Amino acid sequence: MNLFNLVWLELKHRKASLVSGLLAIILGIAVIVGIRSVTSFSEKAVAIKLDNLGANILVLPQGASTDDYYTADIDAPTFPEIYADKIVTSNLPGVDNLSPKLSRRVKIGKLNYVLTGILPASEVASKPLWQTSGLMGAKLKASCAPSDGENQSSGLKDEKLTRKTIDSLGALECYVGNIAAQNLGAKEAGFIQIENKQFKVVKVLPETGTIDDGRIFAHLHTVQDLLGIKEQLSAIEIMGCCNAITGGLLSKLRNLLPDTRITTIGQIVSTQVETNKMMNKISLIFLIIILLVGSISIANFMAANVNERKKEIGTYRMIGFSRTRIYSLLLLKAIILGFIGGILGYVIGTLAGMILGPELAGIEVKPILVLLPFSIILAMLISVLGSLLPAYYAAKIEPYSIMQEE
Amino acid sequence: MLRKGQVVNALSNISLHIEEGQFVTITGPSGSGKSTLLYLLGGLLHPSAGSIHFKDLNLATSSENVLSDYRKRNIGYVMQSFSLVPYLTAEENIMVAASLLHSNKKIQKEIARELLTTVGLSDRMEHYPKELSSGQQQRVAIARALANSPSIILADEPTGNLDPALASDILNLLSKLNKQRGLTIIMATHSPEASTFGNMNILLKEGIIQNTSHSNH
Repeated sequence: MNLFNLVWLELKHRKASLVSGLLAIILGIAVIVGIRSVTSFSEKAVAIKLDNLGANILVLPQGASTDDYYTADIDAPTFPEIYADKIVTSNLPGVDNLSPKLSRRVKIGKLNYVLTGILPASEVASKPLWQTSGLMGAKLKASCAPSDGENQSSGLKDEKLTRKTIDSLGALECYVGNIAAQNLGAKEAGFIQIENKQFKVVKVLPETGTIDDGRIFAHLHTVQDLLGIKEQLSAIEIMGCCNAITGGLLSKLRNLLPDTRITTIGQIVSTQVETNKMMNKISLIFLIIILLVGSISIANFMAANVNERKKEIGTYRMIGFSRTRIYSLLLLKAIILGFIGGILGYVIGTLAGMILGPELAGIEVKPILVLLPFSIILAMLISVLGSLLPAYYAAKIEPYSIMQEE
Repeated sequence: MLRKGQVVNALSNISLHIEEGQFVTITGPSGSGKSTLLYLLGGLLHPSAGSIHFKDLNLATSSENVLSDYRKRNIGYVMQSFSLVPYLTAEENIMVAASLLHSNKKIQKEIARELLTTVGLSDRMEHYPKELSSGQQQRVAIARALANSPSIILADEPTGNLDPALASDILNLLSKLNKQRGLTIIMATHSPEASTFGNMNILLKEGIIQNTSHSNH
């Protein structure tokens, strides 16, 4: 007979009381695990959806504004194309893809259009709105996971895996935005004249509702030649992982390219960051509530248990149990309760997440094993915290006063 | 004693010497201080003045931990209400007490079985207290009191909840343990019949020893 046996026999004897004591811990842990499971998979789903919106970091020449980038004025500043290579060779974590660009306004007929030089494969990787149009190219893999970068294990369907990129854009070929094509009367396989060169229209892009609808896209190096701005870029669009952005990717890029202006495409990044923050805040709020409610509930349960066992504890003290041994007896019980509650809470919370996730949030939720040790430790912590005072009180019980009460 | 802010003179002017192997009975009316004297001798209470010596140990000045250790090694308690743990079998109740000195479960079990046989309950080892009669429960309590091979048994009205026949059984058992094992037994009792089992009787009234008598039992 040791303390563990003693606690175990007591728990077995008072099954109904055990269930009520465990209920608070189980429910508390189940709520945390359920929320954490759903939010974790939801974060990944949101990250991939936001990822699909396109690039979120802009590298612009020093002194250039975001307006310059969109309006593509004739005298807008540029920087060397080699800067794109610098980013690629630096292997900065969180840079998913980049797209160097040179944009200028050109007059075709009576109207001005923005002619944008792109490097096909990378351009498409950061412009997902194009990628749904069925273009040819290599498959890409999304690496911008919100927390751990393990999209494969998330069970989410990454739309990018089915996207196709432009990996073959000839020197005199172009893609024409929907509105630009209407104004120019351009059709696929037809030709348009830009400056002194004839470009074959490979595809008229579907309407996107963005500034891209009025653009003409051609190969970067052809555009550089045509405009006489060799080996220069007006911007590099980067698709950066939102966590990496908040984790200091921007400052790393600024160190790498000190004479440029690094900026975020605010709406996209802030949406990503705010979404993650909100998810984390919700989890934290629940964690604090559960910690408080769970501890109070366990404290109440343990106090009632100690009160019920006053005579028994008095007897133990009489036969030679020290106060420390009584204290240990109660805390060991709290630890065992926490252990059982943590496991059951994890199982129930995970099942709830798996059942309710698809129903309520439209996402598939799978068990997150790393939450199991977290659940057990948290449940033990709640249980021990709640039991400290009742255990202290139990250790202070004077056997003679209990015997006199009889 | 200071109880709930009030000074209570539970015992006063007590001067007592008990030899090893004696069977001492303490008698007196309710509230005369019989139980208090037992608590003091068991190290469950500190006297507000004076000293209580067991061999070289002064219980009056000993710390809580020393007193726990003293009880663990030297004292066996038998209470009127038996004080058995309800969710433990007869055997387990004894094993708990034995576990304080022996961590080996096998040894604890051997001790429990031997003691239950000694008190005549070898066929009730797996029974829970509620499955035993009052007399049987008190026998288990006596067996538990013996689990740590104590030199002193402190018994507080051990027959108070028993009918006369069972009471006589328990008193005979205590007497047997006193004689055969040389255990010092100090028993508080209301019963005049029970007091005849001792070889030293102390009569208490309002916390003061009125009379100490010796007999040849």
